[in-house]
Amino acid sequence: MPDVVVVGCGGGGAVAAYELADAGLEVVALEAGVWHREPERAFTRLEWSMFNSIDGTFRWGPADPALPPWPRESDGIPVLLQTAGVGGNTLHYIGNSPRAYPSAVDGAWPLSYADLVPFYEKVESLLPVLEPERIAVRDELFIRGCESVGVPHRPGRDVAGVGWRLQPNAVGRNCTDCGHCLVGCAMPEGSGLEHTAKRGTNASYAPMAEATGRCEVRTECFATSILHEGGRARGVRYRRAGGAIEEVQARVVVLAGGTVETPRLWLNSGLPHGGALGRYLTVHWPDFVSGQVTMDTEPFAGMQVLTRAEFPGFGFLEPIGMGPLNFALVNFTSAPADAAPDDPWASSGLVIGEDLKRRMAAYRRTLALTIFTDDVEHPDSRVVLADRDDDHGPIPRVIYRPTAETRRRRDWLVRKGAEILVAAGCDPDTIHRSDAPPNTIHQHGTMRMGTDPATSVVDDGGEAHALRGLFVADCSVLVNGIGGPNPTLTTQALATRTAGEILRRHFGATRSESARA
Amino acid sequence: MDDVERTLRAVVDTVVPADGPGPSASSSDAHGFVAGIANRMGAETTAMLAGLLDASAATVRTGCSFTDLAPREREGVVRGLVGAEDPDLAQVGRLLVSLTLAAVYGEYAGLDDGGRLVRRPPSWDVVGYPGPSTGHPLRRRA
Repeated sequence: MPDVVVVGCGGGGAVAAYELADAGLEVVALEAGVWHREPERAFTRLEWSMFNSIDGTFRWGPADPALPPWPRESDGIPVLLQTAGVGGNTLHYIGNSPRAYPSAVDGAWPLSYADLVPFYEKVESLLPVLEPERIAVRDELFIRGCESVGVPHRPGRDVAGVGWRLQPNAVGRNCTDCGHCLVGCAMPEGSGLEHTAKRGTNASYAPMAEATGRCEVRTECFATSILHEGGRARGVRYRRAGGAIEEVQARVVVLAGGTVETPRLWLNSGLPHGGALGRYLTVHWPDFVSGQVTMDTEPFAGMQVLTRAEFPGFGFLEPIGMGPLNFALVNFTSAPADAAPDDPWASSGLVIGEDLKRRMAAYRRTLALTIFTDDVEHPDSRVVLADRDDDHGPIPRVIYRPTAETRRRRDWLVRKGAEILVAAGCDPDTIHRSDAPPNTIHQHGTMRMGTDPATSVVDDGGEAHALRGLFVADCSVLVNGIGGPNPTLTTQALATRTAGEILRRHFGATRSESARA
Repeated sequence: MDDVERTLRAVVDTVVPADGPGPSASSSDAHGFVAGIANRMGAETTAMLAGLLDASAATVRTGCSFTDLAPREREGVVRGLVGAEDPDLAQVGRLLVSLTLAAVYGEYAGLDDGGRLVRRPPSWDVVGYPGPSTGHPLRRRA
């Protein structure tokens, strides 16, 4: 019998699996998808075949692309991004690894920002997280725009105020600048899985866990219920791809299926809970704003995101490089919108027809910014069970209800982005706001951490209030949207800390021993 | 060519028409791409899409099908779907637009039957996209 079973081998689960196995525990990690162990074969660098949600390699669904994706329902958030496979959403993340804003943690979390720093440092060292040595043309323009509107250079990893800085990325110095971070990193050629430039957990923590000799990764195993008795967890029941139902018993269970699957699994297990389970979903409701310059911006070149500008209290924005398909999808497919006279953009929403073709012909002269909002957590944004089942039980229904303050912050950021674009040299008549509908590019909450069981699901060590021996080590434990920054690094730092708590609370390690582990 | 195919051709060419830089969507077989994806969702899905477009067209001009409408009117139908208050209708509208863009600006027009990229899709030359890259030649090998 293993000591620990981890459900989900993505951005957080693989970290917990490694930390526990490295400390000497026997670990089984269950993963719903496959493990792409030959990245040069699996990751084609083609936007549609990798990224589409119907039969793409990174979809949320079974390994056989002829089978339909796993169903889910949504309300108020039409685009749900989930990825099956070892690595989870780090398969397609861009590697952006900023820390949380201290102002979003201190006073709001049961931990302080200072408590998190040693765990940030450990993850940043192991992956590693590095600032780029080279920037792209689009970043030079972006920096010019930022400084022209009074956004200063503010280097460093602890964000104390407004400023632009180089992007801390989980991308190694062996990056070839191929520009395909978003659709799976297979570079450099011949590097092998463990040494690809982008450090998704498929290529970093999962191989490290396996290399301990104490972690077994079981792929195509979809957890369907948490086993428990006498007020404590004792294992997991799961379904293999062929339909076989199996169980694995363990002293500790770690849930790491993400903000949608983790509460779904809890609810499908019939576990008791307070009022917070599934609630307080935040998604950084993104938007996109773009404009045209007179020079070649090489939007496909280099790491996809190399700089960023932080605005604590609002969120952040960053210039992003994309292939033409993703460029078109994120900028031009949203609902038609009417511009108000004082809007700093010339157009917004849906672009089709000749206008679309003209804008696409200007792809190489376009500077595009992505906006991520520090959205306000609210109990009505949540994951519940829908009224229908798939092979794994009742499916999840994701409900998102942005607050008025979230909308205000998002609009403020888009206006700031438009101001930066014009200052960077974009023609004001070409500034276009996507006004994108909510999606789950970033996702947090639903199992959040806290001291009060009425407003949280796990305690400050990641252990469930309601069931001893049951921990959560994914982005669902984040108390809020961490101020707006990309959540993966914070999730990984917390997973590292939670692994230490598991050792201390259930396996007799002292606090100092677990901290060293 | 049957009525359903005519309608799909008309809608993809509303999103990416022949006028303007580069080829039309239908010249990249975007209608075939949309039909292929729709068929995966169910045998009747393609006909349902065409029926929905015709029903929307009839609200623009009584008794007309989508293909009967002028190009500007067709644009209005697509905009109306994408902006519909009914989230299911809006989802269908976004899906039609997104699949058309995927067929035109993604790799679809360059793939062989086995899904391998064997030629450059025409739109990549129009937009100036060099295609999938392995990166800087001096750094691309481990």
